[in-house]
Amino acid sequence: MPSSPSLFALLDEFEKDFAYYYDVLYRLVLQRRSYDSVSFFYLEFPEAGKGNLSNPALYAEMDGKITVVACILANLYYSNYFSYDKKFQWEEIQYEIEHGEHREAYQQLFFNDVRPVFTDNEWDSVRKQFGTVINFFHRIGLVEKEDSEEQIHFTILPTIHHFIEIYKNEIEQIDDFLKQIKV
Amino acid sequence: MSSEQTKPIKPENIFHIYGELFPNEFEFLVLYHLYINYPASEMQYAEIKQAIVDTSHLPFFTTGRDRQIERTFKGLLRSFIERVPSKFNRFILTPHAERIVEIATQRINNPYLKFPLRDTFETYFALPADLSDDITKLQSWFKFGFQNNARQVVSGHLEGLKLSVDDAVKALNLVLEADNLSAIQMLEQFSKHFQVLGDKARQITEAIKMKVDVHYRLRDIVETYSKNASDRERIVEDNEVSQNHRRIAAQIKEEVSAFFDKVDKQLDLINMKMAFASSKITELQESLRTQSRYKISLKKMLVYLLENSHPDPQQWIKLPENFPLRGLVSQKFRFRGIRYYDVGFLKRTTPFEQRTDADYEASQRVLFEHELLKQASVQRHFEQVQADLSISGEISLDKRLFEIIRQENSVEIGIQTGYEVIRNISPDSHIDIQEELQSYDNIVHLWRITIQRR
Repeated sequence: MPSSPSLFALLDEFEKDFAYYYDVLYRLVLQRRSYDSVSFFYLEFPEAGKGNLSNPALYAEMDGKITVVACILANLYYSNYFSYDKKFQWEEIQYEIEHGEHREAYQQLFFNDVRPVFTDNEWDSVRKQFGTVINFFHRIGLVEKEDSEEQIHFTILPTIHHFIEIYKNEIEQIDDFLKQIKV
Repeated sequence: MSSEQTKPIKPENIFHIYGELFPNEFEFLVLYHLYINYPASEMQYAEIKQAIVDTSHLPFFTTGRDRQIERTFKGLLRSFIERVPSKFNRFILTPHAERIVEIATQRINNPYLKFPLRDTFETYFALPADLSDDITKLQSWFKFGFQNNARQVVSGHLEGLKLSVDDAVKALNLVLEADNLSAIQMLEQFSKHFQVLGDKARQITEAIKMKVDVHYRLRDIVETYSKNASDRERIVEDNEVSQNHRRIAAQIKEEVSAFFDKVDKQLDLINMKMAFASSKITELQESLRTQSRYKISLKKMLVYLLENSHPDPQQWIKLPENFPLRGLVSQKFRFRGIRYYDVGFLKRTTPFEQRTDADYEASQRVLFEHELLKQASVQRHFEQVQADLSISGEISLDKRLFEIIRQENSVEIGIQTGYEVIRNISPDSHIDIQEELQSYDNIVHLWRITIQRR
C-alpha cells in the first residue's frame, strides 16, 4: 500500500510480532528490504502455494499487463540508477514506443501493428490501459503518482524491487530461463 | 529597479521568423567550421563552399547524395553570413551566428567550470568600501556590478555545474549497460570525475560562506541608512532624502537576498544530485558486475516479454504461454460510511440518567399498590354478585353492599362495586328500587334495591 509513516513505524517497532502473526494466521512471509536508503515491508507467499490466501479474492494475480508494465518500470529504474529523481511521465513512455530501441516490439504488442504514425484514438487507448496499471501500482506502493487519477506522472519507488524479487530466480538465470521457456 | 517588462510576442510571429533565428544541424556545423577556422576574419566564397563540402562528408551526414552547395549557402546568407561592405566576394559571420555558436559550445564545454565558483563570487560580489556614505555608489554597484555582471556570471556558473553533474549522472547510468570488464575501468573514470565534482561541492560551500558575508555587509549598510533616516536632529527636507536613501538601500538588499535564495535552492539541488550519485557509486564498487548483469538480465526479460506476449482484447496483454504467472498479496478493503445530512428536522437526543427521590417513590408505590388491591377487590365482588344473581335470580343490592363494606372495612370498595353492578346490568334484568332508606352505621344510606333476573 502507499507509503504511510505511521504504518511503517508500527511495522518497524513490532516487526517480529507481525511476522509471527502473518505466519500463523495466513502462512505469509513478512519481508523487510532496503534499497537507495529506503526501507520498506511487503508480504510474500511461502515458497510453495499461496499460504492461507487460496481464495482468489485475497490476492492479485499478476496478469499480462501488470507483469509487462512492471518489467518496463524495473528497466526504467535501472536505466536511471544514478539519478536522484526517478520521475517519469507518459510522454517518455510514448517516446520509447515511437522511437526507442525496441519500438517495433512495443508497437506490435501495444497496437498489433508497426507503423510510423498512430492515430490519437489508438494512443488514447494504450495510454488508458497503461494508466490503469500505474494507478494499481500506486495503490500497492510500487510508484507514487504526482497528479490526479487521469495524469500519468509518477516516481518509481525503490519498492519496484518487490517485482524484481518475485522473478528473482528467473532474472538471475535469465539465459537458462529463456532457453527453457522457448522449448 | 525591476526588470523591464517585455511585450509578449505572438506565437505566429515567432513561427514565421524561427527559420531565420536558428540554423538546422547541418547549417550549424558549417557555421561552427567557419567559426573555428576563420575567427574574426573575412572568408571567401570558395572557403565557405569547402566548409559545406567538408561538413557533408561527416559520417552522420552521409546520405549518399551531394548537398546542394548553392542552396545551403543562400540559406546561411539569410542571417548567419553577410557580405563585407564594398568587398563583393568577401563574407563574415554575423554577430548573431557567433552568439549561437558560442551558446552551444558553452553548453557543451562550460567555461565557468574551469574557474572556482569562489573566485567568481570574490570578483563579482566585491562590495566597494564606502557604500554607506554614498547611495549613488551603492546604486552603481547594484546596476553594473550585480545586475549586469555578478548575477549572470553566478547563474551561468551554477548552470554549468548543474549540467556537468547531470551529464556525469547520465554517463554513469550507461555504465551498467556495459556487459564486459571495461565497465569497472569506466567506473573508475567516473569516480575520478566525481572527485572533481566533490571539489566543486567544496567550492559551493565556500561560495555560500562568501554569500553570507555579502548578505551581512548589505544588511549593515541598510542599517546605517536607516539610522541616518531616523535621526531626529535632521531638518525636515534632509530627512526626506535620508528616507529615500533608506528605501533604495533596503530594496537593493531585498533583491540581492532574493537572488541568494535562488542560488541556495540551486546549490541544494546540485548537492543532492551529487550526493545520491556518489552514494550509489560507493555502494556499487563491490557489486558493479552483479548490478550490471542484473540490469542486462532485466532488459532481456523485457525484450522477451515484448516480443512474445500477445495483444488481447480482454486483458490488453496476454503473457507467453509458458511464462510463469505470479501473484501479489493484495486485498481490496471497502469502508462504507453513511453520510449525515443535517436538514434541520433531526434533533439530537442525549440520554441521561433519571434522578429519583427514593422516599417519595416508596410512598407512591404503596399508594399505587393499595389502589390496585382495591380495584382487584371491586372486581372480585362484582363477579360474585353476577354469579349469585345468575344462580338465585334475585339479589338485594343494598344488603350485599353493606356486607362488602363491613367485610372490606372500606366504604369505597362497597360503593365502587355497586357502580360496577349497575353499569353492567344485563337488559334482561329488572331493578326494583323502593324509597325506603337503609343505613350502614349512619355512614352510608341507600334505598332498598332489588335486582331480579327475568
